[in-house]
Amino acid sequence: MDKLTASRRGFLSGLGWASVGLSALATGCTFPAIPHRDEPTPEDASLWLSVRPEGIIEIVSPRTEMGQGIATAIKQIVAEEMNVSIDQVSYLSPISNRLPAVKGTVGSESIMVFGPLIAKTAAALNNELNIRAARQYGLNAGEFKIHETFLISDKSEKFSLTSLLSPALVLNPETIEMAKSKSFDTHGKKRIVGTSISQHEIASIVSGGHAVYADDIILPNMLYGRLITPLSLNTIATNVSDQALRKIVGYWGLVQEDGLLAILAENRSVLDLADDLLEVTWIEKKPASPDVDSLMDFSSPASEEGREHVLFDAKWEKTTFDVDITLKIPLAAHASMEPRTAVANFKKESDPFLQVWTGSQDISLTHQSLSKEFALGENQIVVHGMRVGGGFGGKVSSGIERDAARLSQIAGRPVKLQWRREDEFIRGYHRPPSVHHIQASLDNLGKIDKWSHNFKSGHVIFSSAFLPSWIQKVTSVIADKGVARGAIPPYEISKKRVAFEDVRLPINTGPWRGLGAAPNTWAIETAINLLAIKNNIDPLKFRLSLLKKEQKRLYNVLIQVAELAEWGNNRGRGECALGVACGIYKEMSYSATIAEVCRQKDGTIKVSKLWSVHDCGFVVNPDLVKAQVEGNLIWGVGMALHEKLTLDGNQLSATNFDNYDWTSFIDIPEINLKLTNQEAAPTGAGETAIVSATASITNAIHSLTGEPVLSLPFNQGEAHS
Amino acid sequence: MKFELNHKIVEVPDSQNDYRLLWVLRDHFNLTGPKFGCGIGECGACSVHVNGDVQRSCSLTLKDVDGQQVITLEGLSTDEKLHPVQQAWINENVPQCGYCQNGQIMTAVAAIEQSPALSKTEIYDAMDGVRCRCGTQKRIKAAVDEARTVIAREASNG
Repeated sequence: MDKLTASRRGFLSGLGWASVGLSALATGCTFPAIPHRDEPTPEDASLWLSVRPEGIIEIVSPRTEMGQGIATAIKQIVAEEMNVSIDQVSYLSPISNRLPAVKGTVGSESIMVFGPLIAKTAAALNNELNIRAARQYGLNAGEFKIHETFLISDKSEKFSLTSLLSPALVLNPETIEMAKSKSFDTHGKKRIVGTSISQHEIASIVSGGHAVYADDIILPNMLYGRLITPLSLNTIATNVSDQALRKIVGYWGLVQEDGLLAILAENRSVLDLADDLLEVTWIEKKPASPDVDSLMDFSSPASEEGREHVLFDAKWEKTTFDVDITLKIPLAAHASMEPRTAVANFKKESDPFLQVWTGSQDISLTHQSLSKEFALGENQIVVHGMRVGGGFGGKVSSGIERDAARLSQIAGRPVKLQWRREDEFIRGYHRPPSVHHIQASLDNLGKIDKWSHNFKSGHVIFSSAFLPSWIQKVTSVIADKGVARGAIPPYEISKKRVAFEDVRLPINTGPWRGLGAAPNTWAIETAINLLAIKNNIDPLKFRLSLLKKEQKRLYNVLIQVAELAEWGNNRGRGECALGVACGIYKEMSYSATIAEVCRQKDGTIKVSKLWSVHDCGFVVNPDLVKAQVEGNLIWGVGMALHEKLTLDGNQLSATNFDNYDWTSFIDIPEINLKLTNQEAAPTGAGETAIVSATASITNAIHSLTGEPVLSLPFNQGEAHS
Repeated sequence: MKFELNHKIVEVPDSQNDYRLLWVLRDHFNLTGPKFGCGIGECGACSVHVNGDVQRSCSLTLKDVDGQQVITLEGLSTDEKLHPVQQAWINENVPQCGYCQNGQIMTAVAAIEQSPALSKTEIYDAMDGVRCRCGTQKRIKAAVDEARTVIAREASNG
């Protein structure tokens, strides 16, 4: 092989595919359980990068692109270290047979965890190339450039790149460990890292023409599948008859087996006919009791397996509080624009082989669960990760690849399976509802004396979507970290009690942008604001005076957003008012936002402006990080004003977009944002600003109406009064 | 039956009259621009132009476009040069996940080209029915404004 590549030693056999964790126990659930995965190592990284003889640096990405810009950032890092242009870097989406098992793309940590390792690996590869160029051609590092199949020296001499790449080079982990990279040296001069390069695949996105998403994959002789889904929860099909469909040209047949009810056809128009022609008797079981509302009510007894997880346990004598509020956050949908889609090609010949194309946030998990489900060897499966058309935590784990593979296995032909929007609502998992009881008081010096925050939330990680109920019960002794995220206030508090209970709900819940950080910070920042107002203190000054000493970065974003919005002078005009909030995502990224809301002529309240300052440390691509912050702020508008899913008996309030509202085009406020503290090490931007945006808006509404917003989304009906 | 698809006449069997336009475009003609989002004409991801009007291809059958002119995202630029709206989308680095952008672009092109005199606000109103989940609307606004200016300038230059 004439490319400079890392060793294949140990590939597939010892690369973590066999590790199972909780998932081994969790078969039979809607979704494969999310396993624990270690941080990537230099050994893993040694397989990510190679130099192609045509002068292209190829990276098989360990990260999934879903709009957050990681593909562009990775290309920038590689180009920087390898001393090539961005066009000379070929970015391949994750492919499971070319990657050691890797953590799913979650938690906004791709740059923080993977970025520096990718930089070191590219730097190591560049070093090796330089060593060979010096030895074979007498060229010194920095005196040549890769151009197509050549090295071109400063004196315009041409040397073969191909012969430099033979024999293949082993990039060993120690070399990577030792390599000195420049991408994250915040003071060093850089060519490409730190600049704003466009979103990867932007040309295909705006003009079509290339396969970008899983639905763009068309295989020869492919069938199309559709799951038959009831429009309510707790409902099962009996007496399924496809008699009428069988007469239709292009209809292939019905698949009915344990856990899978689907039809297959030569094209999707024939699948559409099933709505009218497939006869199904649906049997709706009694709705779960108690229902979601009762389970999320503090007055109801703790659920059967409920355990309280105590983070802080201060005690005090019975007392009254300045603030004593209960806050409610409803279920919410991911509503990614791309419904889950997978294409599977299961070849059953003597050597079984399964290929799957999917828009998943975790292709290693997909690979691993397919291997288990179909009893296939690790190297009998290839999972191609496609661009994800919106993830937000919703596409971490999904059964669609398994179903597509099973249908392909049965049909003996490739199958494309796509969830309908209704499947996304009925079969998908959602942001859990939560309820927060906060009591707080100031002492004579204006410091927070007592703080009590009790909350209940549906599961985020130990969710019924991923775990059968008996395991979930076992896990109730372990706190769900997803629920707890962001629950500890960043403020100086003399005595605090923070405790929560994970509640098992009769609906699938799971990770949603920000996990617990978004709801918890909203609750905390609402209470803090109320404390300030009740004590006649400026809410911004109040926060600044109370932040813990070590929260310098949060302090700084607050100070800067106050300047940006001219907080001191800008008191809102007429029917407008301002609100402020701040928050931390995963103890790593910091955000402060000021919102201006205005009452419209029709009495409703609209967000007119948002100012936001964001500290995620050093950024590789400022424009794409800004795009993430903008998206977060717009999600904050949705969380504050629009998003709500309810369950009435077995009926969800929405099974398609006509009944699910989020921020629309005309709701978009003017956005003024600033990235700060680029000297610090990089952290994450994908889920940070939502933690401050939502409360800044509801605090502004409080300031306008005189009433705190205690239930999300804000009820516009109240605005009229 | 025949219809014009991206400036070429195409023929499909009459027996497929009831087939959904979106599926035929994607699966038969391999045009990946229009996307499936909701299937009920609510989100706009499947938008195409029929005789210059923006329409939801998930809610149309082939019968609906018999003898009509259909343009998809792929048909907006007829040569090497991108349509000014597509170019503005790149200049403003609009897409995040990108899945909805077909609908955004098709809607913006129809609004700007059909009624060059539309005010900014009227164009924004036209865009309001197209959903974006990532939150790219701020950039969509900027791109629409930019494209509108470019198209107006091109028109006045003849």
